Parts: sequence; structure tokens; C-alpha cells
Amino acid sequence: MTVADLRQALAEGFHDIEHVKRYTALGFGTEQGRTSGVLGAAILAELSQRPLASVGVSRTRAPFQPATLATLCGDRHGLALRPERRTPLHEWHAAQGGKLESMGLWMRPRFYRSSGSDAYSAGIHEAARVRAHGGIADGSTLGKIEVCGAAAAAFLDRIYLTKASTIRVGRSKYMVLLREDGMVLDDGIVLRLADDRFVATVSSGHAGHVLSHLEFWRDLEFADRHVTLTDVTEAWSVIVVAGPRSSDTLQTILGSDWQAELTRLGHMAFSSGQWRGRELRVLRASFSGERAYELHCRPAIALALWEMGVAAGLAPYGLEAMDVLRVEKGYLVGTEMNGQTTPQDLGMDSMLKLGNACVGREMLDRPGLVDPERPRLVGLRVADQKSIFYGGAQLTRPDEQQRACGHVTSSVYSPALGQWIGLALVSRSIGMGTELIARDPVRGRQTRVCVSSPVHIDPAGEKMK
Amino acid sequence: MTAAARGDGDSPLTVDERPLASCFELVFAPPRNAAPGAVPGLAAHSAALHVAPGRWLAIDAGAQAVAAAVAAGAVAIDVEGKWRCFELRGAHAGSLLSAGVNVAVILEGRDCAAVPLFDCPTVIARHPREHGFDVYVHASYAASLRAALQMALQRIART
Repeated sequence: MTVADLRQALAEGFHDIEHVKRYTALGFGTEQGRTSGVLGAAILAELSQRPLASVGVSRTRAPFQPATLATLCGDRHGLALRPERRTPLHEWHAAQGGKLESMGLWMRPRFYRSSGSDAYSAGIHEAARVRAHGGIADGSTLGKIEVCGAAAAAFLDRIYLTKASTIRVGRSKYMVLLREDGMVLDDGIVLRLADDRFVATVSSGHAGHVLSHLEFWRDLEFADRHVTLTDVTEAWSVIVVAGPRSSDTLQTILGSDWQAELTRLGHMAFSSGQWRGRELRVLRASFSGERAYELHCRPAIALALWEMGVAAGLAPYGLEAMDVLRVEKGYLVGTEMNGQTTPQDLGMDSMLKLGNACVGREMLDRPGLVDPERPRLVGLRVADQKSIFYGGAQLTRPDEQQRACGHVTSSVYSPALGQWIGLALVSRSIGMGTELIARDPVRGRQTRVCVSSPVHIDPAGEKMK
Repeated sequence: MTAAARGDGDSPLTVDERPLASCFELVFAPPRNAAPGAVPGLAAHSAALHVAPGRWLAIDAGAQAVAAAVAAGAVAIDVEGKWRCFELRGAHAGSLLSAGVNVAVILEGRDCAAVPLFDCPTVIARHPREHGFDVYVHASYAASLRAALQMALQRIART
């Protein structure tokens, strides 16, 4: 701030030092008014022709003496500073070269050092290996909420964009839930265990938030009906087995007891049973675009199942490879479902057409949310098939360099396509095949990209069948 | 984890993890009008912790006890593996928790309470027979809680 700001404050009727402070930010700097407070008060006195004593200085606040960070944190360091959440396979990952990184509170393997020395090369290697042969991943952090009671189906119909009541027992469905304002809150697979019992899977980082959302609506609209909600995230570990060899390998791991069940298991169906005396659910669902299975098992058998998968030839893959695989297939995560996107923005029109009256549905008809300049999810490919672009880059038309028409939400090098690909949110008026510029001033990079379908590989889903 | 420190009293202060044979969450919907906090014993080594309105955590309860709750209108959710249990024993076990919570206030007039302890979601239950508490924690936080308790134990040992 300058002397001119103080003069302006006085001209606008701010005479009390506390008012001047709040209006001009006098004393807000790193020295917290120790210097500027007194000097500013003296200037105010001179400008207003008052004695300095009558101007005074603004009220000081603690800390009055410098304090070290160690004083403030005390014993809160290491695991005591911020708790970390570990899956039952944490020790295995750490011992086998998994590069564990915190994702929220969860510790998750980003990649395995046996696949490469850095996240980029290891991620590409692991993703390519999943598509060529198969792989195994720890998905235990997936949030799981068990919804029970006679009114459970009706409750979920109210919560999700499409109906849960139409799911048959033993089947599952990909479902999306909205906030009250119509923006997408989260997505996941809902399994129907019995007529009155469901498990809703939610994003790892969203489990607590989604449970609160469900509890709020249960208490608001279903308080006198029979609906119970229980967080069962840690009661079920999840092991993902993906790739062309997944089916055969799973038969080997689970043994003859499961052979018939696995053979008849269609896409999005699941089977419940036991393995080594503990409960196991095998869900055929894919977040990679490959034929894949999620083994929802009790934590007590998670390590044994995992080690048998690895011994059967399935190499582990981490978050980096998961990201490559899901971008290739056009699947969404938090960068696309960022709290500002509607189902229409994310290409979920077929779900909307079903017309289920869920929470947030009525807000989607607001004029602003169907505006032609609203963003829409698209795919991106580099125009020259060799350049690089990164998530966060602004997208402009080549002839409109100063006006962004969207941004890159995700980008990866696709080993399946041999080039950089991505997902983006761009204005709906921009058609397929349009060439745009991905501008990344932070990295000094400008890349020509072409708008494509968000599903970069296997659009008919043949590999998952 | 097993560690010990000498408190002011006669009994040593110990922290041990106890494996749980079974664990169910029994939920009544709509919840009945009873304040949480009770811990009735079901058998010698089992208990039902009333952790929230209409919600009970049944530790090592037999099949008959769970069936009785279901017959009384509860939904029984098998949450095997969700909770881990740390036993804090000794006359000064409360001081072990003092860096995180004021256990005397939290358990005043009740025997259990769901409360964040060292930023971990826990249920603290007063032990019915011995000096001390059982601390139940979500399994994914167990390593962090163990580290925090270990640190508290060392601090007490130093003093």
C-alpha cells in the first residue's frame, strides 16, 4: 500500500485507525505492523493534521514474540502430524519396491521400481503390460457404503441419477450422484446383495463426503423409514485383476470351487462365496477397458490372494498405470468431476434421459446449464502425433489466442496409441476434429491438439467382453 | 505392540493390540430414543458398545447374540476387519490419552464414546473390570494410532 491509499481512505471518511487498517490493509504484511503500523499512523496524523497520540496504533494480536515451528507442532511430527491410512497390502507394497505416496490420507503405490526408475516410464511399462498380458492392483481404498433396509432401494433411487431399484440381486450398475445444485458429486458401482441390501462404491477420496451426503438425505427424507448406512470401506479389501489373462489366472488362484461361477459371470455381475474360510465377492467390472475383476475380500485373506495373483504371473501396477489406462478408455476421476461439471457436461445424456427424479435433477434445467458455451467432455490427441501436452493447459482456437475455450483435465502418454492423449472440457460449440492450441505458459509449451472422442481405445468395449 | 512404562501407581502402563474374533455393527432404523454410551457385556470377552444413536458395535459377539439383535429389529452388518483394538491398561491409562482427549470428561456418565483420537476415528471404552480402556480404531488408521500411543508412552516414561 502507499501514502496515496491512506489519503484516499481519509477522503472516503475512514478516520479511525482500525477502519483505515481494514480498508487499506495497513500492517497486513509479514512484519504484521511492527514497522508499517507506526509509520502509517504518523502519516495519517500528518495528513489529517491530528496529533499522533490521537491517531494511535491498531490493536496487536498474538504471537507477540517470534515462535519456532517446533514450538507450535510439539510432538506432532511423523505419523503424529497427520495420520496416514494404510491398506492391508501396505507392507507388501513397501517391501516389493512400491513407491508409496499419499493420496489424501491414504498411502498408495504410484508405481513399482521393478517397472522403471520413475513414475512416467514405470507407469507406461505397467499399463502396456496390463493390456498385453494382465496385472494386479490394490483397490482397497475404494470407499464402500452398505445401504440396508426395506426402503434402501427407494432411498438410492432418490440419491442416484439412475434407478437402483431396477438392479437385480447379484448384479451391479455404474451410477452417478449429484449435489443439490445439479453438479456431479461422485460416481461408482452399486452392487445389489439382496432385495434390501446394497453396497455403493465411491471414490477413495470421497467416501466420507458421500457418506455425509447420504446421511443428510436419509435424515431429511427417510428418517421414519427403514434405511441404514454403514461405512464398510475397511471391512472389504479390493484386489483388481485386469487384462487378457485375468480370467484364466483367476481360475488358477481361486480354484475349482469358483470355476463354474467365474465362467458364467457376465460384465457387471458379481458372485459371492468363500475362499480359505473367508467371504469373497468377485465383481466383473473394469476401470481399465480390459476384461477385469474386482475381488472384494475380507482383509484377513487379502495378502494371500494378492501373493497368489503375483505368483500366477500378474505383475502389480500402481496409480500411474491406472491413470494411463483410464484416460485411454475415457473414464473419469476428480479432475473431470471437479464440482463444476453437470452430467450433460460429462456426456451422461443417456442417464439423464431416463428421467429419474433424484437429488439435484431439477436444477439441471436451469438455462445457464444448457448454454452452448458450457463445457463438454472430449478427448484430445496431439496433431503431430509426437508432441507433449499436460493437464491444466488452457485450450484456445488458433485464431483466438487470448480467449480460452476450455482446459485439459488429464493427459498421459498412451502406450497403446504411441502418442500423448488427454481428456478436456471444451465449449460445446467446438466439434470433433477441431484443431486447438494447448497453451501451457508455466512450462513454456504450446501444442497443437485435435478434439476427438473421449474414448480413445476400443469404443465398442470388445476387450471387456 | 507391547510396551510398558511405570506410572505413579503400582500397576505398569501397557499398550497391547488385541485381535478381534468377530465384529458386527448392529443398526436400528429409525434409531431408538436412548443416549449412546452404554457397554453391556454379552459374555466373558464380548461386549456391545452403544456408539451412536441406534448403532451398536458388537465385539466378539456370538451368533446367538447377533441373531437376537436381528430378531429385535436390528440390521446386522458384518464388519470383520474394519476395527482394530488397542488395550490400554494401568492405573494411569487415562494420562496416555490426555494428549489427545480429556477422557474423564468424555466418559463422564457413560462407558464408551466415539471420538477422534490423535486425528484417528476411534471408540474409547472404559474396561469394566481392570484399570484402563479399550480403544477401537478404523483398521486403516491403526499404524498411525499405534505410533501416537507409542509416543505418548515414551513421554510418560521420560517423566
